[in-house]
Amino acid sequence: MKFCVTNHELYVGEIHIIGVGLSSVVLIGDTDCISLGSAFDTPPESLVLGTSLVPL
Amino acid sequence: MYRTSIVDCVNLNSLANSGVLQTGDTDKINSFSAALAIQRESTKFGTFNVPYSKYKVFSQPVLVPVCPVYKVKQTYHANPYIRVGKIDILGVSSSSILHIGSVNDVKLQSRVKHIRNFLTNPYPESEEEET
Repeated sequence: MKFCVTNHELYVGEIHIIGVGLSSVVLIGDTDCISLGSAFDTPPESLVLGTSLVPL
Repeated sequence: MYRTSIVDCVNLNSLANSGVLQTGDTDKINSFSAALAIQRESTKFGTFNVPYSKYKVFSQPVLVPVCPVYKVKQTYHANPYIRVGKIDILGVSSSSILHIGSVNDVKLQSRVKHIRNFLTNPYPESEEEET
């Protein structure tokens, strides 16, 4: 596969972001490869009753 | 090979939990974050002895798509600059990156386990259904 890119002018006035979290990227520039992964666990079982936090 | 990034103004409020603000070119970024988010009814602060190994989310692999390999890649920069006037960000956290400049390879991974800890059941109706 032949991959050809021509980059012309890129001008951004303003960027407003509230938050960047959990393996996210804000990139002002060029890149070859980005690979991001995230695992987020909030099942119903995450409700723990009592004083002990650690599962058996 | 890469373009030059020009940013006039950066306004970043907070940088927390291994978040990174990087200016300049980078070859490789590889970061990982693991978090236990515990929401408790009782306000008992102090040390927690909660091992990550008890939770599956920290050990199971996360499938990430693999970047394709180009045999022929040609880039021509008619304008060799990326210009941004102003960047306004409230927070960067949990192995996230604000990168001004070019980068070859980025690999980020994060795992979060949420726990809600109550002393008494806040949903007594649902417990009656189960029994």
